[in-house]
Order: sequence, then C-alpha cells, then structure tokens
Amino acid sequence: MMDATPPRWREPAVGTISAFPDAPIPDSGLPWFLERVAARWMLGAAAVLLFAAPLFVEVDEIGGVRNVHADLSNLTMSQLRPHLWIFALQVALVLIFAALAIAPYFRNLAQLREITAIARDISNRQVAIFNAAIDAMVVIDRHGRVESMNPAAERLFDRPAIALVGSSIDELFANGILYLDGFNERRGTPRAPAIVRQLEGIRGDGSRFEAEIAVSTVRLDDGIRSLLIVRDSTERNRAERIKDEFVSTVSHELRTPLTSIRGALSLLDHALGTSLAKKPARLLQIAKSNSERLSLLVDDILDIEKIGGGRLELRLEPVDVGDIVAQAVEQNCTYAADHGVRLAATSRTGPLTAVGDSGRLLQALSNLISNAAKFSPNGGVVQIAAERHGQMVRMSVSDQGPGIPIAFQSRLFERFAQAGNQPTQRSGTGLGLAITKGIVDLHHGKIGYETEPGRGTRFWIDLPCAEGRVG
Amino acid sequence: MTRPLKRIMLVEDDADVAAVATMALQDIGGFDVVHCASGMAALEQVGHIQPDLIILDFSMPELDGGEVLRRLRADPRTAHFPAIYMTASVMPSHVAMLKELGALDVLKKPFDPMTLSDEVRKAWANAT
Repeated sequence: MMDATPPRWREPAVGTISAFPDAPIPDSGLPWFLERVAARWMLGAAAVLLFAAPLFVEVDEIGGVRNVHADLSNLTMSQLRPHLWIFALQVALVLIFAALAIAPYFRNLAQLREITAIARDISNRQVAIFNAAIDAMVVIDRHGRVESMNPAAERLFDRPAIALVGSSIDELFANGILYLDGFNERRGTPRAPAIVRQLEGIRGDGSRFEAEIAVSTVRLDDGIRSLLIVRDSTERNRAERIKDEFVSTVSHELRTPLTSIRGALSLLDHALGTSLAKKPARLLQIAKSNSERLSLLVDDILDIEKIGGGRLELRLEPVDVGDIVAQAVEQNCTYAADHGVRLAATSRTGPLTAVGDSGRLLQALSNLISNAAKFSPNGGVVQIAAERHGQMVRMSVSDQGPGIPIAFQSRLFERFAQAGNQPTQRSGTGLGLAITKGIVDLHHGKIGYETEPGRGTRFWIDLPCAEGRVG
Repeated sequence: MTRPLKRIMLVEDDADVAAVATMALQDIGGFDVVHCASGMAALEQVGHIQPDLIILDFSMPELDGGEVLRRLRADPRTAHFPAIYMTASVMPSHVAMLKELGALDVLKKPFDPMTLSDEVRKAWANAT
C-alpha cells in the first residue's frame, strides 16, 4: 500500500532535471505532472517536459533525469514497487517515443538524399542540354541584362559568356532593349509565348549579322526571365532574296513575251474570227485561253511572292462592299456560265463601307467566286452576299459543291494547295486561296469557311468597317 | 490640252510588244502611231514628231521610262508633251512615283489589245 504521508521536501533534496532546470522535483516519491516547462535545446530542437517520475536511485544520467535524491530508507518494498513499474514504463515510453520520433527523421533524410540526387541529376541534364544545343541560347533578366548563355551563343557572338554576363542585351543586338521592351509589353497576351523577329546581331569584333530570334518567357521562383534562341539567318536570308529575285525576274521576263502572244492572238481573233474554219478557230481559241491562263499564273506567282516578302502594297480607302460584290459578279459571270453555274448576289440596301484596297478586295472575292463556280455542279447556284457582321463587314460566297475534304482542310490556305482528288478540269494554280488569305490578312480582316460534305461550302471574308476606323 | 487625241508616240524596246500595241492602237483605236525603239530615240525624235500623247514603256535598257520623262520635263521645248506609262509594275508606290514624274496615268502590262485604245482615251479624258 502506498504511504499517504504528504511528500517531504528536503533541501536540497529537491533535485533538478538537467534538460529542464526549472522543473521542481518533489520529495514525495510519487510521479508528478509539471506545468509546461521550457527546456534547453536538445538535439537541435526545443522540447517541453510534461510528465516526470522520481528515480529512487542516486544516478547521474538515466533517461535524461539526474541529480535526483530520495531517501530509500523511508520506503517499504511495497511502496517502492509501483515506482519501479512507473520507471520501467517511462523508460519504455521514452524508447518508443524516441524510436517513433527518430525513425521518420532517418526516413526523411533518406528521401531528402534521394530527392537531392534526382534534382542534381535533372539540373545536370538541363545544363548538359543547354550546353549541347546547336542553337544559341541567351537568358535575359527583367532589366534587360544577360544572365547566362550557352556555348553555342558564345560561338555565335564570338565572345565568352563571362564577358557578357551582366551586360545589357544591347551588347548583343542593335536595338535589343527596344525589341525586348516590345516583347515585354505583349507578355501575357496570346501572341507572347514565342515571338520570332529579325534583329542585327553584334559579334565580339563589332561585325554584324542577321539574327533570327525566338523569344519566350521563363517564369522562375525569383522572377521572370526572357529566353532568346538565336540563329544566324544571314545565309538563309540571302538565299531567300536570291530565290525571290529569281522568281520575280523570271515572272517579269515571262510577262513580256506573254504580252505579245496574248495581244497577237487577240488581234488575230479580232481580224479573222468569223472567217476562220472550225478547226483553225478552235486552235486559235485554245492558244488564246492558254496564254491567258499562263498570264494569270504569272500574276499569281508575282502576287504570292510579294505577299510572302511583305511587299504587297495596299491603297487603303473607304470602299463600298456592295460595289465590290457587283464588280466581282460581273467579272465572273462568263466564267460561271461556262461551268453551267449561275451567280446570285444579295446585298444589304444602302452603302456598306469597309476600309480596303478596292482592286485587291475585288481580286480576293473574285478568287472565291471562281473557285465556287469551278466546284459547283452543272446547274448550281453560287450565292454572293454582303452584310454587316458585328463590328465588321462580311462578304460571303456559298456554293453547292462537294465540300472540302477533311484531309485537305488544314492545307486549304497554303501555297499550291489543291485537293488531290479533284478532276483535272478543276485545275488551277493552287495559289488563289493563299493570295486571298494574304490580301485579307493585310487588311486586318478574317477569312473562314463552313463546309459540309456533299452539301457545299460557304467562304466568308470579314473586313473592318469604315465607320470603326474613321470614328 | 484641247486638241483631240490623234498622234501617239509609242516608246517600247520590245519589237513584238510594240507591233501588237501599234496594231491595236491603229486598227482598233484609229490613232496615228509612231514607234520609237528606245528612250534615246524618243528624246531625239519627239520634237520632230510633235505627238499628242507619249506612251512610255518603263523597263528599257540604257534609258528607262522614268529617265526619259525626267529629261522631257527638264527641257522647255518638250516639257508640255503629255505621257502615260505602260508597265508590268503597278504597285501603288510605283504608280505614285510615275505620276509624280508627270505621267497622266499608268496602264498595266500585259495589256488587252481590244481595250487598250479605250484605256488610253480614258486616261486622256481624265487628264483634260
């Protein structure tokens, strides 16, 4: 039985626990609870003592409790036993808690080591890729300074990275800052993710080269960077110019003899048309129509080359879209009739004014109408409409043709694109829609279509309203 | 420019194109046409021919159509002759440049011989 005698406190029998110097130890010989007592730092972590029990042996370091003094002579064996059990329990608990507390630490440590190794591996791989890239890469900070560059960039600019890190982007490109500011203004817009531009690169010896730059945003924890991928496009641009000049020269040179051939055939037809026998008249007609076709092809090649090179000029002015529709219908009615197709134009009453180059818009709409007539069945009707469409003016051309094959739709507006399963009589240059799109793009307009197999296709062109522009 | 359009001086270095254009202007348009095969020949003969209108090809060797018109305008004896161009390049900036040189109009090549005379008359009428 436990002794009910009140605890006897003996000075300095009340000991201290080394880790918890403020914890009193009563001399009752019973376990006791403590208020939260701040501990010294143990194993690098703060601890709080909540529960303690006396040890009835005089020891220095057992279970973290020390300097406990108790008078064993005052306790009977029956009094001592529960304290021994409590002590054993405490030791067991200490061991269990210690195991539970330390195990995750070791487990986390292993995981941390593994994660660190993976991170190091990833980092090494990224650096290796950055360093092995054939394209020059330059990272620019938000102040327009070079933060890092790969060996390809060092070779391209003929300067070591160490000499450029921290320098302004203007050290690498003429007007580099201006360019980057322009990019930053668009940052976050749908067009911003990667923008390709031509700038003038500057080598270490001061010589310049034509640089094609693709810039994209890199978002890091400590802020935004711009990643520039740079290529020397001098040779490619030169080859492009030579090709363009060649195409342009050949096309112009073809025009001169074509002028003579077409003119001569027209005059011959005019002079002899009715007097010719059936076969010579047919041959003359073949020569005329093919010289006209060749002439249109040359015109198309020159137009697409100008569009591609950004050299197609527009004379922008307010134009009545109803007039454009009327002219395009008139221009194509003979062609449509040759295909057994009727053109039907509908236009909103009153002027419908867009901003554009009337000649080029007529060319664009005419291309759509001739295409529609070409693909319409004999006896079909092509509808041409002009209407207001929100803030835009819309011209549309609907046919009753076979529709656009799905496989062809992605290439519809590409150069020389023609649906492969079309019969030869539907042949053309394959440039009409590419030119039409080029013209519409230059007008800041939109072109699109809806198509249904076996039912027909409707192309539309949306142009900015003159009121919107002027106002 | 109150007198009617009758005599045309055609300055064109390509003989075939010149032949077609001459026939078109004469046979369909009813004009008197004098052909000069080069810019230099045109400058030498223009005073003698006294045309109502000069049709100038732009792309010619040695002296192009632009230089021919500049020299015509620089000489008080020839500055008054009206001229129009026939050229394959009808980009707005090129047309504007040719008009700044003093051309009444710019016709596109290749031309349709059946409508060439009407186009010339139209340009003449707009200028007068």
